[in-house]
Amino acid sequence: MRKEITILIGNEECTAELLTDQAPKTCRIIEDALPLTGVLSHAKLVDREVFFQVPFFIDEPENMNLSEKGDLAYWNARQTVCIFFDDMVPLAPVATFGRITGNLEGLQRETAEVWERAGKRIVIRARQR
Amino acid sequence: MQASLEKIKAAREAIWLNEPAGIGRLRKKKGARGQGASAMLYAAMKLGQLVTFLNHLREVARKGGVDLATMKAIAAPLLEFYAGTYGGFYQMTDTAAVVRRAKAALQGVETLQEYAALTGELCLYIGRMDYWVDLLIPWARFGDVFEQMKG
Repeated sequence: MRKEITILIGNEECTAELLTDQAPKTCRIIEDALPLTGVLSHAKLVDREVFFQVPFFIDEPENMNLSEKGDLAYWNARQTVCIFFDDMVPLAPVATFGRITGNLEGLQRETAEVWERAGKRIVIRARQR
Repeated sequence: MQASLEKIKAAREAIWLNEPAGIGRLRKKKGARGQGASAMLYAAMKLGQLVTFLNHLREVARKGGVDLATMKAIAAPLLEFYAGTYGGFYQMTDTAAVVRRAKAALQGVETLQEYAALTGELCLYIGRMDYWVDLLIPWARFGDVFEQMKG
């Protein structure tokens, strides 16, 4: 069964699919930690990437890929969830566990502002069906 | 050790969504020539350094096969150095106290698993502090001015 999460930033709500086939352990850890609340910063080297720290480690690298627009990934060097909200040049492979499937445009509206105004809150929770 | 671990976790949870008092003090700090940029940039650098060290120490301990006493001997002076740094010029005294608590707790660590738990919890706390400092830095305007200055 396809598992989905809801991402809330500012006035926007979007949907993402958990990549449970490609990253089963990572997805399970993320699911168990929901709801996740954090404070968004913009990446400094990669363009069009926002991230927030999460209070846990994921030690076994899984589904390590160069990110694409709409990907959600975990970066263990800083215990952060990264959201690649538009086209960019990734730095290195990261543990990709999700993909935005609904309202990417709304997410882009909120996240694009983070470069100018960091500190927006983000909430990720299990999607209610 | 467990009691210290719980207190470090509580300190981290307290600052997860609420700006720590130390950030307010850092915001007012001035470096050379009466400007605050260097204070904030250097604070971020010093916090990020300790996150990197703790991440690696935790990883080495987690994988096992190393001598616990040596791991403690590496961590203790590092923690003392950074506690002194944070609590000194930068006035992040609460952060310094948390780091010193972790250093003291090292003495009671009996296994590599406990060592990994302690360094991991401190890593999460210091990482959170680092990202609070990051929010003080006006990256967009800073980047614009930097490009103009380059000519």
